[in-house]
Amino acid sequence: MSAAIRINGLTVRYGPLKALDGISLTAARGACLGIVGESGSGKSTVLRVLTGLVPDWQGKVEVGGRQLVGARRDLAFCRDVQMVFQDPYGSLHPRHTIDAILDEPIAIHRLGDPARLIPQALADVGLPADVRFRYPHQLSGGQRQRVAIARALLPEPSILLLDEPTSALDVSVQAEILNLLMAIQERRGLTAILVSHNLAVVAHMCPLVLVMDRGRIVEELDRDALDAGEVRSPQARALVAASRHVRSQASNAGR
Amino acid sequence: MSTPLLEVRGLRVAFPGQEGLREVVRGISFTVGCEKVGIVGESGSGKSMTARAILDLIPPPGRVSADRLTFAGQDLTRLKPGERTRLRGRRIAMVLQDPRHALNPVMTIGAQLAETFRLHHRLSRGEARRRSIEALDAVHIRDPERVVRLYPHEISGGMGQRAMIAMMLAPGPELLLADEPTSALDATVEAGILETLDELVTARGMGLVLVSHDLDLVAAFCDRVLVFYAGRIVEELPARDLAQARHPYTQGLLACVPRLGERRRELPVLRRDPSWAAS
Repeated sequence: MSAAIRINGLTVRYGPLKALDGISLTAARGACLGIVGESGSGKSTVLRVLTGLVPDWQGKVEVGGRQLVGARRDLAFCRDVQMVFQDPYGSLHPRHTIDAILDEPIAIHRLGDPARLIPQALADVGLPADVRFRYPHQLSGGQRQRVAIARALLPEPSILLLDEPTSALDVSVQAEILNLLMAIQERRGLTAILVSHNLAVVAHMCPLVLVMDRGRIVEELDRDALDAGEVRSPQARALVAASRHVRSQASNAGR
Repeated sequence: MSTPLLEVRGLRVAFPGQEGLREVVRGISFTVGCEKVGIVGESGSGKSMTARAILDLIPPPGRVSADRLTFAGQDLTRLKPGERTRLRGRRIAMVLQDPRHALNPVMTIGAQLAETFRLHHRLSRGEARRRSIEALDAVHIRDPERVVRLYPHEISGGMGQRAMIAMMLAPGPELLLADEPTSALDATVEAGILETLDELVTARGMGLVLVSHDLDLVAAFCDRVLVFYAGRIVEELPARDLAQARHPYTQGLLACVPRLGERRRELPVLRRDPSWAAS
C-alpha cells in the first residue's frame, strides 16, 4: 500500500518548548490513522503542520508524494487536504448562512454550480435541504458539525484531517457523526487522520492508533493489541485505564 | 433516610421566548441525602439548570418555581435574598466545569483560597494561609507551599480543578453540586479528580450531586442516577443497576458510546420517541 502522508523527524519548537520532538509517521492511502494523547502531547500540532498553520518547523513532510515547505500551501493542496475542527460553534462564520458557508469552497476551487452542489453536499451528510438558508446559531451542535464536514468534503479531497471532531458533542450525537465519518471515509476511499483524547473513539474508527506524549510517539497500537489490552507504555496504559476505569469501578461497586 | 438534605418537588425553570414562556425544567422531583446522586442527560436536558435553580443562580429573565424546595428542613423559596446568599457557598457549594474560567486569573491560588477561609471563618492572615496549604494537601496537590504562590495560568487544568474543589470545600458545606467537574480535563486526570471528590465527600458525610453527560462516569461514582430528558426525569435507578435500565432513552445512551474491546461496524443511534418528552 502506498503512503498518502509520510512524516520524518518532524520537530516544532515554541520558544524553549518542543511541541513535537522528531516524530515520524506514515498514513497509508485509504486508511484511517488515529492519534491519541493528552492535551499538550502535540497531537493537534501534527495536523496544524500539515495544513500550514505552523510557520516554523523542521523535518521532512510528504503529502501525496510532494514535499511540503514551511507554511505555504498551493490551491491544489488545499483542495486535496481538508480539515474538520473540534468546535462547530467556532468553525462556522456566525453571520453567514449555511449557503454562504458552503459556497466558499465552491467559489475558491471553481467546483461548479452551487445550485446543484450545495443541496447534494447537505444530502451527503444527512442534513435536510431547508438547512441551506439558515444561520449556524439556528442549528444544533451535531447539525453544525455536519455542515463543517459537508464543507470539508465539497472539494472532494483525498485526505481528511479530523481534530477532535466529536469532543464538543453529546454521546448520542457523537455516535451519529462517527457513523457518518466512517461511511464517508469508506465510500470515498479517503485517507483520514483522526486526533482525539478519547482512546475508545479513536479505536472505534482506526485500525492503527499512535499514542503521543510530550511531542513524541510513545507507542503504536493495532486493534488486536487494544482489544487484548496489550499495551506497554505507561501513557497508553493510563489511557486504557481511563476508558475502562469507570466501568471496572462500576462493576466493583456492584459486588 | 428520615429527613433528606435536599428535597425538590415540582421544580420548574422557564425562560420567556418569542412564543411565550419556554420551560427548560418541567416539574422535576427528587431528594438527596448524605449520598452521591448523579444527574445525566444530553445538553439542553435541563440538568445544569436544575443545579443552578437549587442555588438560585438562574440568570434573569429566567423564572424558577417549585412546589417544594427545602434544604436541611429550611424552605428555600421563603428565604430572603440575603439569607439565600449566606447559604450559598457556606452550606451548599458548587464546583463548575472549567477551572480556567472559574478561578480569578489575577489572584494567586493561595490568595483565592485564603479569601474563602477568611470570609467564612474569620481567620487571621497567617492562619488562613496555613489552612489553605492544608486544604490543597487534602485534594492531593503535591508541593502545596509552591502552588499557593502560583497564578491559575501557571497550573494545569487538573490542578486548577483540585484547587477549585479545595476552595468549595473550605467553608465545610453539607451539600456539594458539581456541574461537569471533569469535562474540560483529560481523561487520565478525570478519574483522579473524581476519586478525590468521592473521598472527601464520604469522609465529611456530605451530599453530592454530580451533573454530567457521561453515563459511565456517573455510574461509577454515584449511588443513584437520575436520567434527564427534555426537562424531565425519565428514569431513576441505583447506579449499579444501570446496565438493566428499562427506559429506551437510557438504554440508547449506554449503547451509543464506543468502548474498547468492542468491534462494531456502526454505532446504534438514538431513535427519539416524542412520548419520552410528554408528561
